[in-house]
Amino acid sequence: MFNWYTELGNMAHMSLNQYLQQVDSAWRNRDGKLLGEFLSFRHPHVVSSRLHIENPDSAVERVIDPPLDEIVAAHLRCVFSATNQEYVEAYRWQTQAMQAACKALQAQRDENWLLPMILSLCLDLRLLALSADNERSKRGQGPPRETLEKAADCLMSCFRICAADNRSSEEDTKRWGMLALVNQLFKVYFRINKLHLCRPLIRAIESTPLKDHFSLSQQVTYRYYVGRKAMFDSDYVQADEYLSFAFQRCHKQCARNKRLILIYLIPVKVLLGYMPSRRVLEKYDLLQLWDVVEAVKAGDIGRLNAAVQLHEAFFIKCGIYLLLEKLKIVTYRNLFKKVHLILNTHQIPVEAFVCALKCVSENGKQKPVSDPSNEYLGEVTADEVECIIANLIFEGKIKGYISRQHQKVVVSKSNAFPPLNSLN
Amino acid sequence: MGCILYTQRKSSEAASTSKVAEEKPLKPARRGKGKGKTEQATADVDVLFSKSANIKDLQEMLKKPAKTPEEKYRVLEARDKLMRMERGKQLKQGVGGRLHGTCPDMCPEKERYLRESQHQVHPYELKLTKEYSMNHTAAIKQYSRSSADQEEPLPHELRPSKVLVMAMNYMVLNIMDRSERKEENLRDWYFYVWDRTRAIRKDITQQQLCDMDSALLVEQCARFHIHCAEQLVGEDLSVFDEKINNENLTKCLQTLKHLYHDLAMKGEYCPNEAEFRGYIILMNLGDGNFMWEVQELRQEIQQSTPVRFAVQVYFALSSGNYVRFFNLVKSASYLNACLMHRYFNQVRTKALAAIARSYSFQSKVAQFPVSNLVNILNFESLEQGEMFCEHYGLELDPTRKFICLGRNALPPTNSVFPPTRAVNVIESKRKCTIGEVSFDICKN
Repeated sequence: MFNWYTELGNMAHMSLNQYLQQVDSAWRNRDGKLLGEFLSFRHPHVVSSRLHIENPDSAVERVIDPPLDEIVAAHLRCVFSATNQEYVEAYRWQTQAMQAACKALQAQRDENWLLPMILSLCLDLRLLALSADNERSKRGQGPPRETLEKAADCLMSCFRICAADNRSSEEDTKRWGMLALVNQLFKVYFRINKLHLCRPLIRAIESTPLKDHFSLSQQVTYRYYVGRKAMFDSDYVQADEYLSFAFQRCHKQCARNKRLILIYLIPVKVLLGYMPSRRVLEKYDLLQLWDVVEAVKAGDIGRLNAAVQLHEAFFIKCGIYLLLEKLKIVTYRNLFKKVHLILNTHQIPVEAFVCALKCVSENGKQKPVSDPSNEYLGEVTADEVECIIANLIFEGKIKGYISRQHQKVVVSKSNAFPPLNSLN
Repeated sequence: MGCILYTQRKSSEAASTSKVAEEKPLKPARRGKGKGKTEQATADVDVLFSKSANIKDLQEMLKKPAKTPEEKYRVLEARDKLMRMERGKQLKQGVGGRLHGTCPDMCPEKERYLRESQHQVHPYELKLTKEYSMNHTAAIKQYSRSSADQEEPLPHELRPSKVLVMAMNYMVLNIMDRSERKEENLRDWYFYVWDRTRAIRKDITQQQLCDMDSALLVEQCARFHIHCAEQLVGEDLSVFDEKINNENLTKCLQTLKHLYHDLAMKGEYCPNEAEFRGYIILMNLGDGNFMWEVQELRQEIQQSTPVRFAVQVYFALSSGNYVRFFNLVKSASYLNACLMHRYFNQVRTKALAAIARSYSFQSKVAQFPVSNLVNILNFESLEQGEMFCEHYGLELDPTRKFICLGRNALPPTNSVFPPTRAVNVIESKRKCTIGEVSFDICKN
């Protein structure tokens, strides 16, 4: 039986010659996956001190033929720099390995077995760029995230090679590499906050016939990012669809990833009228959202404000702060529904809504004016309440109309507050 | 200032030759004898603009008497050529690096004579005499577009930050307020301030200046453009182009982001950063992810009143809460209100659609008082409110006191209601002159 630990031990003490021989044999066997491992930072060979050589070129050339020699030499130099924690330098070598690998990939017509190796190099390129940027910012150098932006260019040129390969048969096309590269690019674009650059990538994936045949893990990642993008573009129905797919198909052992997906999926769901259970939030350590959900259900604006304020830093960091504010619309709707049920009439004076809103606005406030922005907001007025109701009617969340002369909201006799999840 | 050459002490060869020119008494050029004047001029031009200009010819040129602006320009151009040759040698030897401007005037000397000789002097820079002559103390460096064939500027063509501050102060005190004069040509005014402030920004980037002064300068440029966004909206396209103004404002804000970042790396924090972070948000309310940038800021900026205010504006805008939006306009500072002005049409059209839908019942036509609408949506006047409704296809009743609302969706229009100034709503907030707004002397 294969003993992984023995293997790991062997690898970690591997000599240069052993390493090169094995790389060479993987190349000859056209084993892209194994090659990828031999060029990856997650593989134990990187800790072998016998591979930490400053000038590996001549040794590599003796064993390995072009074009692989250039890639392997650059990789070993990269490992050497990274081991010495010189990440700017390491990143430079990784780029060189990437460029040589791209050339090799492009040169191979009607073959795609090198893809796993390319993807492994891409992953490390991004991670090294992050480390390089850290190093640079510690030294106070240059604009932040400059390396990461450069890495995006490198990934992009690789993506172009894959996307342009439309002559080969479905089996041999390099297009199978597209989605993994797009995912890497998404990660960069979200990190440097250039979401508009995602659009052409999404278009490329959506239009390829391979779309639903990529590996499931890649599809999950892809839908997670596209879902988040849709969320920022206020397309909540699409966000729901993509994030739901990601959540349902994400491997159940990847609890951390499932949690990440839920951070966005839950607010989107609430906005569309679905409320999560406390159990789910507990399971995924997202109880910060529980107060929010409860406040929305109760129609309690004051409590919602307090809940958002309490975990403000967390929500801002996750990028859902603005979305949570939009839950106010749902909260207003729930509050007004309560007013309607209490008064038990379909002609409700605007004043009743004003009164209810004033009543809940004070809830949850610890100090009289804890939020400095409150100075701009002032008291809720009848005008503003009419405006909120006008919007709710306009969006179909309340069926009825406002009678201006009588200062009343006249709601439909049946189903005046249709369930939100029936609207989309 | 006159025509005394501004000499460069560092560059040995060029400096010594220009010294010679300086010492030469400026005699009037002899006329009538020998070569004609024009003939001589073309010969000079040949020397100046031929690629193979040799040092000797150029040095000869420095000795020529220079009386007219054109002649003075040629002498200075010859000097610059010589200096460039010298610099070329230095660059080959590997000497170089960041440019440090040394120009002591608001406008480099050579540019002044060039523009005077070519009759390209802006009215603000002319002497109030009958003949055409430049007021050299009032001239400010023009913006010149970067192009591939443009040579890298010499140190005396770039102004150090102290001089940039002087030029900006001069404009703030003497030029910016001119637009309030009745007879003023707004086109000239806007173009002048825009062009000269753009040149200031270019000098900052070319020298890679990174200090408090340059941050303050770019902030003043930005405030000017924010102010213009409201004051000049609705002017003819030949006077004011909203798009170009926005581009320039965006560029100012982008430069500021970089400056704030780089200064913070040095441990320096600009006192106005919060104000401008607020403006940056107000410019980008269409981007649902602007909080990402906010989240990267220091706590005190995130929590600052201007940033909080801008976020509130986003909430009002994105939820269609037109009442709150215009309440925020009412409580806004002058410049914040100017920035919010660009969203007026968007908020009002959305409001009109919601009102038309929600105040009407089945097929009955409901009436909504114009005065009420004008009040809620902060129109300048009843007339403006009426025009707006009619533009979007809502009819008024015969008394013109009510708008008639139907349940049907508003008829689609492709045309946007032409943006108009908001004198009562916004301009009235300005309690000081434009120069003071830009300089931020009076806090609104």
